[in-house]
Amino acid sequence: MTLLEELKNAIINVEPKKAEETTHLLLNQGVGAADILNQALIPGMDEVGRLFKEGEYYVPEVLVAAKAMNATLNLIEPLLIQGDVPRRGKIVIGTVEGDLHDIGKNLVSMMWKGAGYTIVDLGVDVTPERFVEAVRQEKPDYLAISALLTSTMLHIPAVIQALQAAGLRDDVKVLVGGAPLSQPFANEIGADGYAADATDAVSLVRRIDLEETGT
Amino acid sequence: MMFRRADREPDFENLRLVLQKKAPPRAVLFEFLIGEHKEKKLTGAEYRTDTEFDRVVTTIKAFDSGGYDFAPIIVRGLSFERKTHFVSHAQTKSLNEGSVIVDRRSFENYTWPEIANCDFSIITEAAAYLHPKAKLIPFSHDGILENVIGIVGYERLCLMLYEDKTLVSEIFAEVGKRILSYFQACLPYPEVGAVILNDDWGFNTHTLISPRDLRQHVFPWYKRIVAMAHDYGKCAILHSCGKYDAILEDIFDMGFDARHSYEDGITPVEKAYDALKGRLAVLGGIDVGFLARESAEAVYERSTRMLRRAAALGGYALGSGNSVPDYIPDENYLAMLQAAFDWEKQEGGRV
Repeated sequence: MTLLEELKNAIINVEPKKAEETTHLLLNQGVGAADILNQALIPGMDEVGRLFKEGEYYVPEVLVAAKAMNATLNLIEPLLIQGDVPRRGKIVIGTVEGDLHDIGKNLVSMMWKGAGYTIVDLGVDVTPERFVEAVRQEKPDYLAISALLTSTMLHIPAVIQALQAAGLRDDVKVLVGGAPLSQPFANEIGADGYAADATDAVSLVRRIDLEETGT
Repeated sequence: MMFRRADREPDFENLRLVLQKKAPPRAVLFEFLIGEHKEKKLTGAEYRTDTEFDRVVTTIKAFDSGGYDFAPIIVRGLSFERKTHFVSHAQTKSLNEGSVIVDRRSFENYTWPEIANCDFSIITEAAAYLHPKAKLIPFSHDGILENVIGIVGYERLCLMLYEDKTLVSEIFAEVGKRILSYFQACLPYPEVGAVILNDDWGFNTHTLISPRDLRQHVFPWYKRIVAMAHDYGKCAILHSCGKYDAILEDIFDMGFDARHSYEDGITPVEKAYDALKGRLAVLGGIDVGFLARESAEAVYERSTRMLRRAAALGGYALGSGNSVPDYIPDENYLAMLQAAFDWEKQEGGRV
C-alpha cells in the first residue's frame, strides 16, 4: 500500500492522528500538496460520504473523519496557496434568521471542505442583510442556506429577495437544505439547488460545476 | 369552555386499548405537547399560567376540552444544568450549545440534579382537576441522549465517543440512572396511566449516534424503565424524532408499547402504520408541516383516511406528527380533532 493510500484509509477509518503522521511522511518524501489533496483527501472523504449515505457511518464517524481531513488540510493548505494550486469554488453558508440549528450546516460544510471547496461559514441566525453582505464581499460561487423548522424555512425567500434587490442574484447560485425542505419548495422559491443530506450536497455542487464550467 | 361534545367523555381505557394494539370503541386522540396559544383556544377563560401548578391544570383542562383521554404532565426538578444562549427571536436551539462537561475534570465538578428536588405530590394534586376516567401520563425534562447532548454538546459528544469512551459511559450512566429514578417515582401513582419516554434519537436520514452506541449507552436504561412500567401494569410510549429503521428491532426489544413522532419526509404515518401494526401502537403522525401548510379540508380528509386505515386492526390514535406548535393554524388543528369526533358519528367509531 502506498503512503497516499494509507492517508486515504486513515481518513476513511476515522484516525486523525494517523492522518497527520502520514501527511508529515508524505511531505517529507516530497509528495506534492495537490497530489495529497486529489489522491488521498478528496477520495477519502468521498468514501466517508458514501458510507454515510449507505447508513454504515453516522455523524460521529463523519466528524472524526473530518477531523482527520482537517489534520491533513492544516499541513498542506499553506503549500496549496504557495503553489497556486487551483481549488474548487467558494461557498458561503449560514442558517437562516430565527434558527439556531447548526449540526446539518456544519456537516455539509465539512463534506464540501473535504471535496476541495473553500467554505465561509456565517454561523446561525443570519439575517438577509448579512447574507447579502457576505455575497458582496466574498464573491462566492454558491450561497447555501439552511433551516430546521417549517416556520424558519419561510425566511429563506427573504434572503433570495434581498439578493435580487441588491442586484446580486445572478452572481451566485443559491442552494437550500434542512429537515423540512424539499425539491418542490426549492423550486417554488427560486433556489438553484436542494440537497437532502451532506452527501447529496457534494453531488449537487459537483453537478452544477460540471454543467457550468465542464470541470 | 369545552371543544369536545359534552357526552364524549374522556376515558383512559380507550387509550389503553390503543396502546395494547387493539381497536377502541371510538376514535382516540393523542398529543404530546400543545402550544400555549392552542391551550388558550381550548380552555378559553379558564386559561391560567401564573404558577407552575396553574400551567399543569391548564394543560389538563386543554386536553379534556380537546377530547383526549389523558393529560401529559412533567414533574419539575430534574433539570440538567447546561449553558443556553438566549436569543429572543430564535425559534430553535443549537445542539452544540451545551459543553458544560468538556473533560473528566468538568465531569467531576458537575453538579448533578437530584431526584429529591422533584415534588411528585403534584401528580395527586393535579389529578383533582382530571376527569374521573382520565389519567395522567408523565414525561421527563428531555431524555437520556438529549440530556447528554445538552450538557456535553453534540459535536463534542461525537468526538468524545471516539476519544474518551470511558468518560462517555460514565456521563450516560449519571443521566440514565436519574431518568430511571424519575419514572420509578412516577409509576406507583394510581393517577398515572402510562409514561412517555421522550428522547430524540435521530434526524431525517440517520440516528444522531450509531445504533451500536445507542445500544451501549442509551437503550439498556429504557429497557429497564419499560419493564418497570409493565410491572406496574402500565404502558410505555416512546416519543422519539428522526429516522428509526436501523433501530426498529431495538424498539421492539426494549418492549415499548407505542411509538410517537412521524414525519412525511422520513416515513409518512400511513406507511409507518402498515409496517408497525400489531407490533407497536402508532400515535399521531399527521405531519407538522402538512398541518402548517395545507388547508383545514385537507387536514380533515387525511385524518379521516388515517382513522379508516386503522379501523380494522386498531392500535392507532389520531394526532400530529410531533406536537402542535402555535404556527399551525387553529382551524387546521381543530379540523383534525373534528375528524375524530365526526368519525364516531359517521362510521360507527371502531378504530
